[in-house]
Amino acid sequence: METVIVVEDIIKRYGDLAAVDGVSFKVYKNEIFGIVGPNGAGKTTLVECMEGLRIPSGGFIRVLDLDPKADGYKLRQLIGIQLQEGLFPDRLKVNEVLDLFAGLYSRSVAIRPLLEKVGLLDKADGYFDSLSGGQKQRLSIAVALVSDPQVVFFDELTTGLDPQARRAMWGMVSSIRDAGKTVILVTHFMEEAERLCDRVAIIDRGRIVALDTPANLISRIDGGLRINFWLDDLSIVTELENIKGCKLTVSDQDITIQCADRRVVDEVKRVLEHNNCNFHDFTVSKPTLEDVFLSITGKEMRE
Amino acid sequence: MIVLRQFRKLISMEVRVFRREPIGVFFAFIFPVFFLFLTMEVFIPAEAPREIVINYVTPSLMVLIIATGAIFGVPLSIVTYRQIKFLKRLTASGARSLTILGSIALANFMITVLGIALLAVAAMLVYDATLGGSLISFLAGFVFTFLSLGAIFLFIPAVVRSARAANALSQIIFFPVMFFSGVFIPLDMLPDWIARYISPFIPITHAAELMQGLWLGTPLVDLIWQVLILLGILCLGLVIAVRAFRWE
Ligand SMILES: Nc1ncnc2c1ncn2[C@@H]1O[C@H](COP(=O)(O)OP(=O)(O)O)[C@@H](O)[C@H]1O
Ligand SMILES: [Mg+2]
Repeated sequence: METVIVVEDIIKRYGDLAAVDGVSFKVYKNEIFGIVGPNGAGKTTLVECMEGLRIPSGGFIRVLDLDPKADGYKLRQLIGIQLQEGLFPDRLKVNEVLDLFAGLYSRSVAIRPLLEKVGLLDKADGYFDSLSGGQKQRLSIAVALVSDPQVVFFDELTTGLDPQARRAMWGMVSSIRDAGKTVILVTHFMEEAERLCDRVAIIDRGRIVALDTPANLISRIDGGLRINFWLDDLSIVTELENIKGCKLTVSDQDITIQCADRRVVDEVKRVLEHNNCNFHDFTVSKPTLEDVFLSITGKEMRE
Repeated sequence: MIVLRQFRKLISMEVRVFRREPIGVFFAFIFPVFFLFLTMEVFIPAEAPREIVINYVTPSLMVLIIATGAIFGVPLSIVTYRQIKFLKRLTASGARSLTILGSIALANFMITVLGIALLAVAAMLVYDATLGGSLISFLAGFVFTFLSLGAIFLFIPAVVRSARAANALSQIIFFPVMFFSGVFIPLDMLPDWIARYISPFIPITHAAELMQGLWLGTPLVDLIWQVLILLGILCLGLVIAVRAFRWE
């Protein structure tokens, strides 16, 4: 596998705070590499060091064999960047924004097909301030792609979007990878990382706490399935606990059962129905990256 | 050359954004001409010799146009772009900081040139204003004044964060500075203590004297003080800008 990015022992301090505290990893060609973690974990600081927009306090970075610190301008001609924050002037039209950014790079793609790809063709003549949140994000993607870069960085691409717009964005990111590019995707949505990324680095307080494919990360935590429901009457709990292969936790009236397979789910249901229990909101779920984060760090992703 | 293309694209973007802002267009192009008529028709005493007065008023109002760009135009563009992280966005796309700032300055220069040309045409056609000195030295003085005033007011983006604050600060600076520098009211009509103790500390005062001198055809040797003072202001402005400018 061809290595596109090398990060070794990167540290970035702000005063006493080490926002990034000794991070190392490699990114390979044509993968979607996720950097996930809660707000304030240091994700933006880390990617902006890779883009040469911030200067690390220590460590070694090569992106496309260039040092972002020494060759920032050269590097930024070759990569595409979507910033976590970053708007355009209200009174510029969509096609004018793209024309401007196309003109800043030494090479660029045709603008109309690009607008079509991000679904903004009918908004080409619209002013930036007339766009919805999702459309603004899509323009931001188009700007990141206008130079036909080999490596694209997305930072919190879908924050603030409704679920439907988010899904549309996911489709777009996958298609970028399928077009042969390498994508670095920063997000605090574990579900997004799980769905999209080929590999994920989970970071917490400036350090990588796990790095693997989403499937491997999830398979590390025991208990394949998770059953959730709540009961009016808790007297049945003892009988449920006696079901084989069933790990049960009670919190108020909320019951969580971890188990290895489907048979336990059927058995739990049978016991509940057999005893004419009143149970509500019965759900069965697989563990997610959120559970991985919880099991590694002992805290919830969001409070 | 990619840098030239970047300049071209950034300048046309900046001019476009300016064109779509009616208040800016009004202050750059319409207000100075309107003020010219107001001064000539209303403010000056009826017995004053108009054909002489116009040659003082015209260069003063040109300084008004330059100062408008220096106090409002450039700082507000910079602060707004910085606030919405557009400056960072441009840097992230392979444009250098100097290219970006240079384009903002050049776009503003072009707007200023147009405003001054409009004013000159109105003054010449309606009131028979005439350039008494050499065109070359007048133009050189204009560019120099633009640079000097442009540089000194770069302290505005360094001390404020938001576009609103920049706008408020620019307003607070603009009106007193205009009144006490001899641009709106001739210095000899101001109270003596203002002319003596306040006006000399306003950069615009020296800019107005230089531009008036060059318009009237005063020999350059007699303007050497104004040139030196503006040069000092230019250097001071650049030093402050380099030291205190915040990119984010
Ligand atoms: N320019 C800065 N100055 C000081 N502290 C900063 C700066 N940028 C980020 N931080 C701090 O560094 C930590 C990581 O921030 P950030 O990289 O933005 O996290 P994330 O993108 O994961 O939410 C936070 O505690 C944040 O307050
Ligand atoms: Mg962030």
